[in-house]
Amino acid sequence: MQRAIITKALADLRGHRSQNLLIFSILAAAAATLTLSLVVRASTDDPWERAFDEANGAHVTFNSWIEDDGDAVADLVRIAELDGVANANGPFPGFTGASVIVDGDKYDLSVSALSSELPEVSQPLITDGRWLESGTPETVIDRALARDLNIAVGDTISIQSPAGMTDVTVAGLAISPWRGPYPDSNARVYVDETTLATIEPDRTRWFWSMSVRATNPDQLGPLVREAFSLFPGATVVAEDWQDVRDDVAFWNEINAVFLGIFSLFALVAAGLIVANIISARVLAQFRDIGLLKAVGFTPGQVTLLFLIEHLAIALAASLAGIAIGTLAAPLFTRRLAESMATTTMPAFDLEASALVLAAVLLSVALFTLLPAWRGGRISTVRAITTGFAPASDTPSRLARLATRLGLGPAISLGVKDAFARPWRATITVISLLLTIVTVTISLGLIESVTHVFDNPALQGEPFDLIIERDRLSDEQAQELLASTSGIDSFHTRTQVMALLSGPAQSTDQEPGVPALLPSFTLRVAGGDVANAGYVVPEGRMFAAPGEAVAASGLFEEVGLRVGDTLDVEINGALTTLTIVGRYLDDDDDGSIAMTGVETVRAVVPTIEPDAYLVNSASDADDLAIESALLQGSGYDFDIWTRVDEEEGDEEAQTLKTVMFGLSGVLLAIGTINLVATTMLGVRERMRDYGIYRAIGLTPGQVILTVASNVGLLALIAAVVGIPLGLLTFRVMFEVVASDLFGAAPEWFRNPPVWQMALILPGAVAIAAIASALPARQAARLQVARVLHWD
Amino acid sequence: MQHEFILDARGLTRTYASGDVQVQALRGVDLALEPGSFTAIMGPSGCGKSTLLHLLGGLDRPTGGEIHLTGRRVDGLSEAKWSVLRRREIGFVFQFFNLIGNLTAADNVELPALLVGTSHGEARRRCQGLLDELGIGDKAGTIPARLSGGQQQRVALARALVNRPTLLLADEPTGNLDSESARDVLALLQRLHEGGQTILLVTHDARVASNADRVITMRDGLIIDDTRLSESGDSSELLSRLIRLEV
Repeated sequence: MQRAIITKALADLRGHRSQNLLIFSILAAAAATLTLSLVVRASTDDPWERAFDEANGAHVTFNSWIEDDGDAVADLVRIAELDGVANANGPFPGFTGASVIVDGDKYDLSVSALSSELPEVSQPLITDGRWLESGTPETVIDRALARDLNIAVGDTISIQSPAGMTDVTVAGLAISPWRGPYPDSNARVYVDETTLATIEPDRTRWFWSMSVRATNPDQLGPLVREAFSLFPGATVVAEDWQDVRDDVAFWNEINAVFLGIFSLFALVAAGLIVANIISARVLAQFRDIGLLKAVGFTPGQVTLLFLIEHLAIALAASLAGIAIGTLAAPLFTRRLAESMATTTMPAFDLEASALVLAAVLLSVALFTLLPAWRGGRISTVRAITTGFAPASDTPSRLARLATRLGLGPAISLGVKDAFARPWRATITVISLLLTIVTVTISLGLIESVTHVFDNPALQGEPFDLIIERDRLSDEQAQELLASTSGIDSFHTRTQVMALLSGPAQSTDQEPGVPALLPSFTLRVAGGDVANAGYVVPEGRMFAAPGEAVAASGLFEEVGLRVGDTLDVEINGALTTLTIVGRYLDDDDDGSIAMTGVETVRAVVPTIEPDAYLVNSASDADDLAIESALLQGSGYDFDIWTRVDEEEGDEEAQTLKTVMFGLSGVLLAIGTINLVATTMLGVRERMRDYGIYRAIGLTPGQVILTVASNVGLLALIAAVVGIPLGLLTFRVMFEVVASDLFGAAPEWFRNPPVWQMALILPGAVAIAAIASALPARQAARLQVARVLHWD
Repeated sequence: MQHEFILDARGLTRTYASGDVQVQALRGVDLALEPGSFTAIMGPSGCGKSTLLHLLGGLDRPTGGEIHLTGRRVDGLSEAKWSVLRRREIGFVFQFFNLIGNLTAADNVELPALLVGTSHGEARRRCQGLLDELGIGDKAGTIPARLSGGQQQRVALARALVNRPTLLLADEPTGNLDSESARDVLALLQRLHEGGQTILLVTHDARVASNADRVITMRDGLIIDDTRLSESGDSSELLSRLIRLEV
């Protein structure tokens, strides 16, 4: 009997080629999207985790600019003796004022001096060439930088610094996974201490790093607090490994999350189409099923027959989809792969592939089972004698309604059959719904991302230029900025680490919530902050000493309300900050605050600006301002201009591409479903179309009948789908974007009204296009043959 | 303007391709119908009678020949123009009724009226009148699946007549009915004929054919006999002759 089933299954597969191809294409598309999602998701964690572990990366790196007076270095060494330290190396010297110039472009470097013996903690991973040998002016540079600038092992590069140019030979390429990757952070290059002294002879301008592996890497607060207490009054910065991982994976996380959600949509949509086609197949093979049962197939075997046929297609489609998804994944993971020294060739992920295969086969089995079971239950006698599935036995109210609305006989005949097969109509509407919801979410996401990137103030970056000085004094720098044409305003910034010394004090007399984090970045701003353009959606900007504003992340982490006070420790000195407003800043996922320089100077008198943040006039040329400042400062200034910023745009473009791509996939699936539904419906109603022609409908009217049938379903899907899509987007934004990426509520933008207004006619137009071919078939049928066909 | 013939077909041929074989369903048929006539075309299965009916109603295209309807040549009309012509001038009744399953009897009947632009109210009025006349006025709101064969055929007849067509074409109208229903339908056709309706009916049944004024017999795509009732003399003799022709 198994042979009989297989023989029949093979015959069906050969006999319904176009339908089978349709099912194959849809399932392959869904499988490819799901594979892509899983592989991209895996790429965010696995390579970074592996590289970090291999490098024995530091969980926290302490960087200090204290003078090398022996005691200070010894102070850093004392960190190694603290409770909570599993292993530590350092302190190692370094310098951040160097750069390399290639083809006229300047690339800032972070130069770190290590010996020829690789450190135990934060050990650079050599990918090409070798590590440093003592006694020679050579360097090991960041692999991503080398790839970007086409620098190979053996090349000589010139490192520029205030002391002049230093030529060094590239001995090797390496990655440093405990640091933010280039170009998000300055590229790390390694030299020995002698070479460092050549690059920057003034040791007081060096920074010192202590790399620490913690016993409890997920709870670094107590360790950091204790380490800071060793250096009262000194400037020490701690780099947290989890911040690095979050930065590294940020955009891939976004892509992976949205890919994941939409690939599920695609799988469900594909499953619905499969269910649609299978149920129609059952109807079309009514007589065949009757004959099968007449010759001895049991109902269970009829069900098994359908299952085998469709699982065979699903298997082939899954394998094809997995291959496509695996091949396409590097398009999304390229940058991350580069920085993590993984191969850019497609990497087959066995676990992800197995999951996709199981998901597709299970979905198809599920969606096949019900119609297949119904096929097995068809009455044998009725199937053989009648030859077709029983027609509806209730009068169509839709037809009557359409006639009363004056839509004309052609449209009335079309809409009356829209729900003649309720199961199929429902599936089609749901499939279209998924498409419309996806499109709506994509449009909303693109609008929100565009809104954020077009308005840098929403990310806490309302300025056009960032200037750092080297040897010029603060007074000289500010004088130059004030006198340079084209500058509208500027303010100063210093970043310090603030430690919470107690729970937040709430103004409404409820007990303060204990802080979830012990420390956060505090921006210290001086000068014309009021005109800088920071966005303060709640409360107001600070205006008096002791006041501060905090970003959304900090509000959530500490349980803040506007009006609360925070007791903080800055460089060992205690002070109280009153939070007078919530401002937009997405750095550190929004766990950040800003206060005035007068507030901090009261407890840390030696504080000086790290940077000057400049707002240019609306008609000013930022590059001209940059050039004037460079000349005016004697090239002492290091300047970043927003017009040079491309990376954010690139990531936003990638996200837009992903969204368009996914919408395209769902649109294709929805359209294919419409085509399939219409083709099947026309085939079943050939006789009706013959009657219509016999009583006087023109071929054009028959086309209109077919188009209105599917057009009504599209209309329903659009009317329900648009508000559902808007609601889903809002929920997704609040849950996914806000919780995972610290997105502020002010980032949210609904899709533009004009785009939404196009969805409804767009859906109906797609329905018309999808029905074109089947409608033409119906219009051109041979009436005499059809009416004599029974 | 009154024409001598409602329908005038000359030299009609129809050839089908069946695989590699060319099948000549009609091999040169001439047929002219006078206004108000009741003509039956009979012949065995495969003789071409249904093919001829379909050509005359524009449901199929002749390979050769001409068709004139009320003096106008129509064989070369486009499908759209045929459809418009058909809804106004020709009513069709089929063996398997061919009603639309999820429309009520009234909805089925008024459909052609709506197609020619009749207002909904007028169409409904005309429809109810026809259904009453055909004895099924109480079935207006019933769907075809709940009607007997005879009732369904009456609905089909009402649909064919709702626009007062010049010509009524019936393809084996009693072929799917029991004898009582068949008699009822034939009686209705007679009544319509007496009211001036021109009818062309196709049947393989001699007894059905004998209800007409004129019986045309076909075999192998050609007309082999054309008998008018007034010329035939004794009707029982006519019936006997027809039965002989039937076999």
